[in-house]
Amino acid sequence: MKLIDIKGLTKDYKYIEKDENKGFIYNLFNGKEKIKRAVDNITFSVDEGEAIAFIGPNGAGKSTTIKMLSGIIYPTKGSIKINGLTPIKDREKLSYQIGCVFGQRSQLLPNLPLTESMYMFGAMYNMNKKDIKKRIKELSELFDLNEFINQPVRKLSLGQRMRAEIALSLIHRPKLIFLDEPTIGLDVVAKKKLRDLFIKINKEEKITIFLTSHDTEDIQSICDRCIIINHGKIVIDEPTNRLMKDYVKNKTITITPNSSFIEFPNLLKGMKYISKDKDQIIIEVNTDIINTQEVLQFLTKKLDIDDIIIDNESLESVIRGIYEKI
Amino acid sequence: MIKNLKLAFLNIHMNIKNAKELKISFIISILGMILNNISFLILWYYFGKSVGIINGWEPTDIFGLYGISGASYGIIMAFFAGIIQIPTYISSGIFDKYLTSPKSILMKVSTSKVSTSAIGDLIYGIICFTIFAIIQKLSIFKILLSLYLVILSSIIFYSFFLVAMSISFYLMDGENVSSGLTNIFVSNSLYHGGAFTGILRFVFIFIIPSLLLGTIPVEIIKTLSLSKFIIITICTIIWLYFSIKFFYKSLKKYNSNSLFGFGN
Repeated sequence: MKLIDIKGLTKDYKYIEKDENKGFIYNLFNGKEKIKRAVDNITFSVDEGEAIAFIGPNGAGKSTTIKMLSGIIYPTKGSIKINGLTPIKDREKLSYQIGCVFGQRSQLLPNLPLTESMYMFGAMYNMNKKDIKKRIKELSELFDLNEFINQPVRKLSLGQRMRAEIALSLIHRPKLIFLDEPTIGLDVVAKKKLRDLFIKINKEEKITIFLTSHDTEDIQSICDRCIIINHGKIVIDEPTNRLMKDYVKNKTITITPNSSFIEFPNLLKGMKYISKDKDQIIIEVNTDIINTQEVLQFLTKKLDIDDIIIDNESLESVIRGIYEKI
Repeated sequence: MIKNLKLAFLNIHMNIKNAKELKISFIISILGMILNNISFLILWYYFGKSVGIINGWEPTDIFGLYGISGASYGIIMAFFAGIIQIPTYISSGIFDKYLTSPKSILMKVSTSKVSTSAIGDLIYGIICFTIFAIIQKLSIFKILLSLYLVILSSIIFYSFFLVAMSISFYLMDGENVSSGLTNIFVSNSLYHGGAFTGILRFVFIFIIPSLLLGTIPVEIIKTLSLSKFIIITICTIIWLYFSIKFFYKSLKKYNSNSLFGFGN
């Protein structure tokens, strides 16, 4: 079932361009109105229970799209339906269906324990005290909040605070959660913990995830589908694993010798040396030109090999490659 | 409506609880504001005493002026301080979170902050009004009338601030314009009521309603003027209606920014 259905979504921003050759007074009363198209006629849908990565370089239109989907800003053109609701028109009804976590903005009361913010939020969503209490218990177990639930929020570490923010945004059991850079600024352990939680809420609570992040680990570990946007247009919309398959063209092969390498043979087409010395050779292989089996046959014939390691290109470099191309 | 009001009270309660956690700063900011206001009161009282009666205003009327305007300013700023944060919420993008929460956006924004120093204004207003009531030997009827006028004055404070702050939806740097407008509005409400005559009185009643905050209410209490009572009641209704309409119209201009922020 479609939870998000977007058709021809467009957002224009107007701004006034100054005439650099004229003075302040002239520019105060004159100026050319310009239009910057931030989101350009995008169409896509998201099924209930999916985990979507909505990514793109800075200024691509990600945040603008998320803000239109969550009813924060008006679209210029196009239609948005979230569980049958139009965000701007049905803003209040929609808020019961969605949760939002904006990485840099807190919704918590800084001087009070987390439970107080949770009670306040629960009341905002018309939950009674008994229901809020039950939900706090569920979320505490799910998010492992018990160790700090009674501490003032300002005393929490960034990782704990992010867990608290996410738990808070789920107090009313939304169907869909928008996550805008949720792991920004966190250390590797806190990031991992948070990613595991996102997977858990997606699988166990069946909450649809709509994530924007510049961290490819977030995308790879949480999301089944990846939409890449640039200059306001969708350029790729594919399952994350197929993205790897379709766009990973390079493999890196690291070879160590039995004793030491003396000669470095000329390589076949599609292979090139990254580095070569007597203790180690690193070769890059373009799998569009030559397959891995041929490469291995060639290398074992030409070199005295002790060990061989084959690495796929990382998602980060795949996405970097896509950003550079589009 | 009832649910919105209940939530407004809950927000205010939680925000006060949040502010009270920092006990020392909570107490200092309240006492500091009371002391600051007393110095103004003394200044104006001695000014009034030295110049005598000006346009029907006696020196002790200053207590009534500061009582009503102080109490109404205190009520709005203490419990609805979120409205003066609107320009900051807009420029920092914090406004986003109020748009994704249920219930009335205006209620949520208005009750998003409390100003502890304004609790000092409120206490100071109550003290001043009590002195005024004793000096003027106010009857029960006049005290009830005063309470009604404090409510109207609070609504006018709220409405004018809301209009001034909503200008930020249209301007990139709305904070300066909004604070300039509110300064004109508030400072003129604290000047000796006898100083406003003729065109000046018209401007500060019907265009920038500073005199509706304290001066006109004090004159109503003293003279029981029906025409002034009708004017202040009608102006309050118009201001409240217009300000809410203007806020929601302006909201359509909101283009979220992406700066960092922390708040509730």
